[in-house]
Amino acid sequence: MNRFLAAAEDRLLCAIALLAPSDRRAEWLREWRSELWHVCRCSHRSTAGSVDLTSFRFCLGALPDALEMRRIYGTTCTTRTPIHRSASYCLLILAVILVAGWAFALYSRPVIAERHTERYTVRPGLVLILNAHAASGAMNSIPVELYRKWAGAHQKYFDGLAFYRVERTVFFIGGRAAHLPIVHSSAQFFSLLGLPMEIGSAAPSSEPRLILSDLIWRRNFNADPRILGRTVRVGERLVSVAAVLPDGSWRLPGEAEAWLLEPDNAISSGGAGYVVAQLKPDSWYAIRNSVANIAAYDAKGNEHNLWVFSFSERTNGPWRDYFVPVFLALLVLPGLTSVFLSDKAVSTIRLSWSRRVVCCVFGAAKIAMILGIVYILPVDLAYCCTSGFAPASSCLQFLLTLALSIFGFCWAVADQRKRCPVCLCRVAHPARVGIASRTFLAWNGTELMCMGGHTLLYIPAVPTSWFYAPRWVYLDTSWKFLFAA
Amino acid sequence: MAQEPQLSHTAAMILQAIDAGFVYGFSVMENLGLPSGTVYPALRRLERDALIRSQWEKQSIADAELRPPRKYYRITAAGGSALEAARRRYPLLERLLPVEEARRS
Repeated sequence: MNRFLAAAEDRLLCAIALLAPSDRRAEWLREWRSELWHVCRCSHRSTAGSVDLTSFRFCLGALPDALEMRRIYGTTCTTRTPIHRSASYCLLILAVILVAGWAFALYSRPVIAERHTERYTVRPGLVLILNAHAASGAMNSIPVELYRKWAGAHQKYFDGLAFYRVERTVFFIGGRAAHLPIVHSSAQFFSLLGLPMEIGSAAPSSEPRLILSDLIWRRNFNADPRILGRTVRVGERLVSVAAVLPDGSWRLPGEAEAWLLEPDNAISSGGAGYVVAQLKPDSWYAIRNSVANIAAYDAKGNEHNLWVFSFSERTNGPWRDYFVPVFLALLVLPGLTSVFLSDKAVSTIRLSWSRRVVCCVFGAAKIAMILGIVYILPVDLAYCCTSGFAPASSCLQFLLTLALSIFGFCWAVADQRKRCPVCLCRVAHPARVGIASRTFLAWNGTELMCMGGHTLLYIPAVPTSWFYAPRWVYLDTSWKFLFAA
Repeated sequence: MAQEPQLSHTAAMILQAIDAGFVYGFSVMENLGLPSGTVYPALRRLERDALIRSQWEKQSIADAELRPPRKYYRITAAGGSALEAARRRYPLLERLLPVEEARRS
């Protein structure tokens, strides 16, 4: 029984020793084993033949001692390492960038709308047609006369067409006039889009009808559910409110706070706008790449060069332009930088498992934060000034994500390579060692030092078959006086 | 003038025990009646503050006595002055473990 107890006590000490700092663990364990031997001898002498727990109680005292050792000599640097070189500072900076990006995304309406695109569903085969010279979607581009000619002709590719134009119009609310951006559109506009309404219905009608945005309904009408059917004055006309469009549903070019649906022949001539069309199912192949170029002729025979954008292709949200560039960045990473962190084969000292786990967790945390940053920052930058449909923003997001991913991954690998495996602080004080002409005879490269006095990092100037990756040299306690504060 | 370190009562007792000749952890425990969880962490703190220093016994001596070598603690000059200050502060400290008596035993 006593033999079993002695083995258990030794195992207990070995387990508790894991809490002690790795560089002092062996000596700590040696002292406790030595003391335990004497404790056991004394207790056996006093209680021979019976089970004595004195030595076991003595071993329990090793726990506060190991914790005290950790507190005094713990894993931190023996000298004060500059805060900007520490691992926590690195994670803090990444976290601040990430939080700032998300905070902006939470308060920027265009970015919110883009991030929640998956809630927005349009009919499959729906396309937006605009002038090739206004492909950014920033300006009205198709004359209403061209649309009328188009709509009156036999359609080979389209099942339905609708026109809309954004104009600042006087809107009388509660006796006060306000100039608001109002969409003047075909009566079948919303039925063609297939957008669900918050309340009411936007079915085609021969009478002009008004659709309110959720914002204006709540702000100016106190979200009154009995608003449907009420007559309001828009410009010179009296129209009835037919429906309220949910917040974030409007994702076509142009800011809008209300939509005036009227028959095509009632839309005032002279202006230009956009055309929304429903492709016939057998024509979907024409825009399989999400964009197509077509030519149209007006009544005077003038040619109009037009872009046809697949609208349903553009409602997949920002994730579509995130995964592909991140994947591309991971593919090109080995070509841009070495992914070997260090030459472990030559190291005679084995890091403890706990330190290795901490290193891996730090690297993983860094990569996770970079993945978050390369998602949110491009979305913020690309969509902060757009409203809904913006092909240029999608392209910008793709390019920014690709650039940030490549930069971020390269930085993460380079940063990890220059962090001391013991304390995770960045090494400093680079010093050139050796001369170039002696590369193949002796050693030539750069030596960096951990400010905590744990390690030296050797980086070869010219990678060779026997020295191709950075090497860590672990310093024992005899070096400690050099780094004393 | 350098400020003298303020020792806790336990730390002062342990320092007094080491000065009295109980120079390894277990003997300090036995004579003071303190648990191991108190004595060894206190020894670490005293060593950190350079009031005591530790030294391993020679392996040959331990081998001759068929036992593992011990880690001995010695009081330093700074530790001596700290102990003097502690004795002034805790007058009963010397009576607890009289140095002369301990050395005779």
